[in-house]
Amino acid sequence: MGKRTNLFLLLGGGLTALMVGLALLGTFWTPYSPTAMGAGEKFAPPSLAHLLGTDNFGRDVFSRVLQGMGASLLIAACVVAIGCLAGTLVGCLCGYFGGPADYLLTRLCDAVTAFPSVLLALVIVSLAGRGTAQIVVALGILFIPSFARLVRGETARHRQANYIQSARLMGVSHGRILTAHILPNLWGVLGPGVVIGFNNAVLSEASMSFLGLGVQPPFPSLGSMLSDSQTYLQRAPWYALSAGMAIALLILGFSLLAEGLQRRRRA
Amino acid sequence: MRILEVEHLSAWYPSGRTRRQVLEDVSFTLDRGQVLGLVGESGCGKTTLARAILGLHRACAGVVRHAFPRPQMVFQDPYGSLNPAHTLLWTLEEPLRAIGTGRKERRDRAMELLDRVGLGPEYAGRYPQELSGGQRQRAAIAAAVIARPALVVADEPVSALDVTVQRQILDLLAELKRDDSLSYLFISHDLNVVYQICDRILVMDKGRIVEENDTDTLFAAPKHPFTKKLLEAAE
Ligand SMILES: Nc1ncnc2c1ncn2[C@@H]1O[C@H](COP(=O)(O)OP(=O)(O)OP(=O)(O)O)[C@@H](O)[C@H]1O
Ligand SMILES: [Mg+2]
Repeated sequence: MGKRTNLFLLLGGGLTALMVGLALLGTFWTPYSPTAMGAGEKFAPPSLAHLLGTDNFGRDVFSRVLQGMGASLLIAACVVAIGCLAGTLVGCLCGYFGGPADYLLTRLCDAVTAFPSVLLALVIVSLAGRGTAQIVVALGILFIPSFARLVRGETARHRQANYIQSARLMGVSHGRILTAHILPNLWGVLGPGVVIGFNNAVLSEASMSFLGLGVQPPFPSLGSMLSDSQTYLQRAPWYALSAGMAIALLILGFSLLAEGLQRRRRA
Repeated sequence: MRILEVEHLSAWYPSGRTRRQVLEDVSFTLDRGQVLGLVGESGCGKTTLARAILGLHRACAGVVRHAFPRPQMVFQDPYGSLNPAHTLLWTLEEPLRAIGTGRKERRDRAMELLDRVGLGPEYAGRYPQELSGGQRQRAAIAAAVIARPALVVADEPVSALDVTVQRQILDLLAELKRDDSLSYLFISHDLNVVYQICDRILVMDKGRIVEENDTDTLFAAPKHPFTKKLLEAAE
């Protein structure tokens, strides 16, 4: 087991840092206002003035991509936060205490994961209405089962371990065993889990916005940009390409980072 | 004074749709400050008995009476007995936290115990993954005795170790017993080890106690054929 450099971690971490950095930049500063029509000519090809060209309203695509990434990542962060916090809570309790509640919740998680998540999100949104908050809540709920299952398995494994039995013999309470003895052992699986969650959340949000159910115009989101740009694929291919590449690079960064984290854990 | 009384203890493991009995009507007592040995072949039920006594094995019937709260256990496998997410110092302080010992005293006592089990202060910040099997076993013993329990059940505490480390650990256990009037239920399949440390010995065969006597008598004049067989095998 030599200390070989973890290429996945390096590349994934670098790419993710770059994209998140750009997205952060986009929330504070963009070269042009992302919603200002006529920032340049309509359908201007990429140039020094407009790095990624302009769209059908003459809006600067680079500015829109920057802010769109920010919006996508913010939504992904909220989705993952909901899924991870609630999933960890459910998973810990189920894995530690077991019993009929565990059985029921596990079956429920299986049932939820059996449906395609975008389809379920569609159902939730059609009931709750479209909008950013609805998307966050709908996806957040759908992300709970994957975290719950991950944490449940690990918790059940640790519960059997001798050091947990020792803690019981010492008279440590169940609550403290969960928070101080088991939880610190979960970071190793939660880390890659969160990164994969980001990956899936960015994709799901993009799909929802592509279908017009997520972030509403005129505010940019990578998914809605990709959807808008379809009409102008011939006249302004840079528009679709920019939005598509931003999504692809985000996903690539997260996937590489997740793989890198898992390899480091196994090493 | 009686520290532990076990009466008619039986235990099972689920096996398919039925259950398989691994302990059959086990009864014995342990007095304060004594070391009671439990010997028997591999798979005869020693670990199961230890776990049943401490309430860690649910599928059992019979009576187990402890005179003092919080008996502790040193597990057979030193690899799973320390929490990988915490340093040795944290692990050693945890039993004291559980009984509400103050911060300063916890730290002092943990450092004292580390020293007594032959792990210097430089080990305080180490994680179990950074220790050898013998070092882990010593740390596990330190964690078991740090809150001054009256009874420690030690399940093959030295079986995984080489002879010199075995010697160190046996000396340590003897010393702790003298200083803190600890009692042990000491489980082993190694008669030489048992001879060195135990006052009395229980011989177990297929889940039953077949002979019980003080160490010298048992070694000098074994009565049960199974005990004779064990002694012959050990020579
Ligand atoms: N978790 C389990 N499930 C089913 N059967 C088990 C389990 N653990 C132990 N057994 C069985 O119970 C019997 C007693 O096991 P136990 O671990 O108590 O033996 P032991 O005397 O401690 O052996 P050793 O000296 O090898 O540690 C064995 O036949 C074993 O196969
Ligand atoms: Mg055993």
